Amino acid sequence: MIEVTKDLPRSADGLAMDWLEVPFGPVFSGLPGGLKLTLTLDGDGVTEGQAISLVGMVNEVEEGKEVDAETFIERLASAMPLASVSYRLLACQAIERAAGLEEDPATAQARAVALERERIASHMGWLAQLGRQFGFAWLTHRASTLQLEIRCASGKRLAELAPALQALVTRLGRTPLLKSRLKGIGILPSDATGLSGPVARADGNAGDAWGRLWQRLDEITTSLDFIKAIGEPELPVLRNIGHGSGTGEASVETPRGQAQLSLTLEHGQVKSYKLDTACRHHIGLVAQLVEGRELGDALVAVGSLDLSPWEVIS
Amino acid sequence: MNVVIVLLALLGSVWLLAVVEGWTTTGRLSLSAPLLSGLAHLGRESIVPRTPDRLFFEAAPILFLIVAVLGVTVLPLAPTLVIADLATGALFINAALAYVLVALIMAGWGPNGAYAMIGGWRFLGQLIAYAMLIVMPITAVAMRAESLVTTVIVASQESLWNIVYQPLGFVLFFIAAMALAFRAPFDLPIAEGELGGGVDAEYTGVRRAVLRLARLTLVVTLAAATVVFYLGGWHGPLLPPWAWSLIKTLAVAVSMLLVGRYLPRIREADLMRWCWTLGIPLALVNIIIVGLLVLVVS
Repeated sequence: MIEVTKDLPRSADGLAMDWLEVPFGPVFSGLPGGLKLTLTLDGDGVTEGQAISLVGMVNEVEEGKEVDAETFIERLASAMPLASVSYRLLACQAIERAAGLEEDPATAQARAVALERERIASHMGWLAQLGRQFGFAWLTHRASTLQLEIRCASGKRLAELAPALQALVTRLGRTPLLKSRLKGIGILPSDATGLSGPVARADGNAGDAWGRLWQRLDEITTSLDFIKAIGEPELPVLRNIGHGSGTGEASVETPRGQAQLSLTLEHGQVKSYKLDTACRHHIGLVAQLVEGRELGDALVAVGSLDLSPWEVIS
Repeated sequence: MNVVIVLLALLGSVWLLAVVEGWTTTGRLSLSAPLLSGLAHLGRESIVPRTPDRLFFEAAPILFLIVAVLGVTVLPLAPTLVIADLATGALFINAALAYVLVALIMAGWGPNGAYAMIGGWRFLGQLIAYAMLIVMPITAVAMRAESLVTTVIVASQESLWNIVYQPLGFVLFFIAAMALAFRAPFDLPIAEGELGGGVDAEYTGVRRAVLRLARLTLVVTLAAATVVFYLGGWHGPLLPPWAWSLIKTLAVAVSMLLVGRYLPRIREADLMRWCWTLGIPLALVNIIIVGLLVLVVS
């Protein structure tokens, strides 16, 4: 027996065990598609892990392949399918600033409503994903149904859906076992930097997966109130920039955190850009959050970050 | 004759349960869905993983099905409609169902895959804990009936069902039965969102069809046991005894399916902790209460 186990790694309890390196994803029902999580398992415990995106976009424009502003916006929006409105808005703002356009308050308000609508839909998508991870069929069905309705809903329709959203929030607060699955799981390390969005805002509220759930639920309510007060959403469309040139920067609070874009515009063409996203920083937390956790808890911790693999820029 | 009738009743119950399961999953109520689903499984390629333990891999689904059917043999549909009216019938169910563990460990080990193996070992811990919660409430049931014969246990509930006489025992048995059948929220061995199917993950085609059939059969068997031990078995007005047994069994089986839809999967650590620190002491309390009641009544 000693001969068989003498070179094997030791668990925390001193037992010699075979450690398995197990991939989760890029297609795995408990995680967002495109995310590959590799965990080293000691029995049902995780000794180490890392996450990479297999679908993240590259942060550069190829030399000599400048694109016109409209095409750039479409490309950026379609490259981020989980938050296309946010990135469309980000690109529009950066390009308009580069072209020297002043901000139009009415347009900005309508765009902000569209952004908040996307925030609600995105959080619903995260709840559906949480339901899939937990085998919580009712939540998956309810949240994904609402997400589909909200994505293209008018202000009036959103007002009609508000009671259903509030009922979902209330129901989650009363669901047995949910708190015990999330409380104390995925607590952020004290030295974590570059955090933003619900992950950062929930840090004051215990900073665990339970806190992140309630942060997102609070944001749904806040966004609904904002939409109710402001009016109809309007998909961000680039205003007339002519053949403007210059450099512009913009920052948008996407559903997953802050995204920043700086770009150089030459005669209406985007010559270069630099994009920074929240998920780019959040994915670095995975290794610390999963280490030493039981497998189910490790996956909950990763899921609670709401990583969008498309928004992990390489 | 009893064998044929009981097996047909079991098959019919499994069929209806599969229909309800399909309904809750897809939103479509179709009586032909189980047949089509079964045919679809049979039509698919039965893939064998690389370097499996072939004996375990092949035997596990069959053993699982046999064990699930074996439990039904001592459960009466009516006073004379039982395959084997054993003197130790109540214990026989527990003994038979213990082999579910063997089947799942084999299904986990056989494919030589990480997800399946973790699922199998998860069930080991789960069953060791919850088997106690099966047998301890049965002890209290047998105390009231003063017998382990299942037909006598049903007869003892003619005036008052055990769900009223020992409600704590019913709750514990129902929870343990769900854990033994690894239905949500106790579906840790197959957890789709954590293990991509776990012990089911590497099975395809006909083998997967047998596994699914065995799992539904196990739910019906445990539902039938719940009816025999707590819901008065065949007792009920107007309808013939066998009809009452079937109706109650289906109602319990469907409730086992539905409960999991509205709850998230329990944490593995909590599953164990609650069983050992709360469930088993409560089962002992149940035995004491029932013992006192039996003494007072007699």
